[in-house]
Amino acid sequence: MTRPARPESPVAASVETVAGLEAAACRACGKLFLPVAPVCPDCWSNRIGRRRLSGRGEVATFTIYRQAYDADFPPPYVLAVIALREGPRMVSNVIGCAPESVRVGMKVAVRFVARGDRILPLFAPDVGAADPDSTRTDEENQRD
Amino acid sequence: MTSRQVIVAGVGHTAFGRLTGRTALDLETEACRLALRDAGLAPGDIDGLITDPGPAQGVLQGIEPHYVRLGRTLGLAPDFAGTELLGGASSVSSIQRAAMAIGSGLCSVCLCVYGDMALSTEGSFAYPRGEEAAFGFFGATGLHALAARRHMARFGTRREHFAEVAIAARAHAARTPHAQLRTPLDIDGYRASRMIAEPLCLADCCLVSDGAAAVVLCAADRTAGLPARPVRVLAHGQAHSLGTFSNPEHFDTLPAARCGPVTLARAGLTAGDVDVAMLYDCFTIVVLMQLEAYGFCKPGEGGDFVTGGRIGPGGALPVNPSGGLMAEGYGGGMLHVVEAVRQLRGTAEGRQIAGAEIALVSGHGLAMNTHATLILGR
Ligand SMILES: [Zn+2]
Repeated sequence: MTRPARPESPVAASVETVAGLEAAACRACGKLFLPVAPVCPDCWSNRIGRRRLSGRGEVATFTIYRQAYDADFPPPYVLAVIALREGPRMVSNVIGCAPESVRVGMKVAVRFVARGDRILPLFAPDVGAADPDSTRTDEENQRD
Repeated sequence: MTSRQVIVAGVGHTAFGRLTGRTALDLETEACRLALRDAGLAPGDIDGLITDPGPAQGVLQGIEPHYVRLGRTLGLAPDFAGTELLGGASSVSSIQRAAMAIGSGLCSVCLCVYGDMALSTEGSFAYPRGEEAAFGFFGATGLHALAARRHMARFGTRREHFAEVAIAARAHAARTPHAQLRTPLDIDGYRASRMIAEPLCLADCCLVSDGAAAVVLCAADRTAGLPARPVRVLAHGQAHSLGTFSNPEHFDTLPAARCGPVTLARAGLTAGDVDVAMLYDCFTIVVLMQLEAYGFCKPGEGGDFVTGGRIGPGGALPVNPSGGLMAEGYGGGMLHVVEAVRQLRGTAEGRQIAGAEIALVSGHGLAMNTHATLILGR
């Protein structure tokens, strides 16, 4: 489903330079939100900055596509709503595991993947989250 | 300000299914002719036009809105006109808009029309979902599968509960001569149905159809001498959830939870007073969620509510006695209005709900963003 990042690809090279997942942050009321927009949906302030997120969260809900809709997305693949640890939710894919193993509430961590000419934040099972003593950093998880 | 009483004077529709060689415009004009004849009115009586073109033809052709093309074809010069933009809630909202226009005196006889060649047009419902298509988010099934999975995870709802909705729809349609899908479905047939977007299989999805349906609304002061038993518009309402998928409530509740009970209350009613529930049934899960949102049962109890054939023919609450979108045909929601009117007139023949006095019609649309509620009474 995801195209492996090839070392010789310029897009793949830039995947390695992605700083991390960011959300919009309202400078007036502190609301964190996704997708990034020019105004805060709570207080309508237009003073909007960015905040780096942990890139970790859990699967709020998901579906396994079994029917093909598009040649670039051969089934099966997992489309999910990810509830990020800091609050915002986003639509993405769960990768790096069998689709049948995905569960609501499953801990996931972001993994940037090149798809076409874009770099997308996808999510894979968060191995570190299963082990509270883990000393792995977010960055290490992102590079799995 | 006093408002004029609004009644449904006429209903009509074409066949539904694969109608090779027809066009949406051709079907729409046929439905309008039938509805006008049913109402006992003439083309010159029409002074309002509200349309709901399906997804295949869309609301615009070039820069021309749909109501202009249909109105020109029908030779109309209405005092009030428009095209609805609420997705699957558009048929109900067209009735609502017409009722408001008539009620406030802007027009007196308004035609509401749905039509499309959705089945004969490739990929009518396989659209990319905005920016999120980058993640393979296509069509309506995957979207509703996200809600279905939430319902299962939160309440222990099972696929057998979804199956009850599909099986009931097919049992209803078997009693509806014009229904598109009249073969019965049982649990084995449901289990054999291929997966589209888990947990939803093909049998959880409504039909895609070519067809058109029309409804004539009329001011009560204009109905003297009309042939059909008048059906009254008792109340109507809307609620929308326009936030992003980041809203934690988005896949857990429908906007119907806000406009449903409120609209019933506006008519002096509760869910328990509803004899005919015409619930927008694009997917089985949406029926469960609406049963909860309207107060037919408590949140999370939709699965138990439908168990044992309770929404099927002869059940405690027959839902969509014509078969609905799942089996009668995809009529946008206008066929739901048509069936409600037939039930309240007492002309639904082999599927008539005895003594039906109150009908609830709902519409649900877009990315689970829109909802419209209509209460009709005998
Ligand atoms: Zn704010």
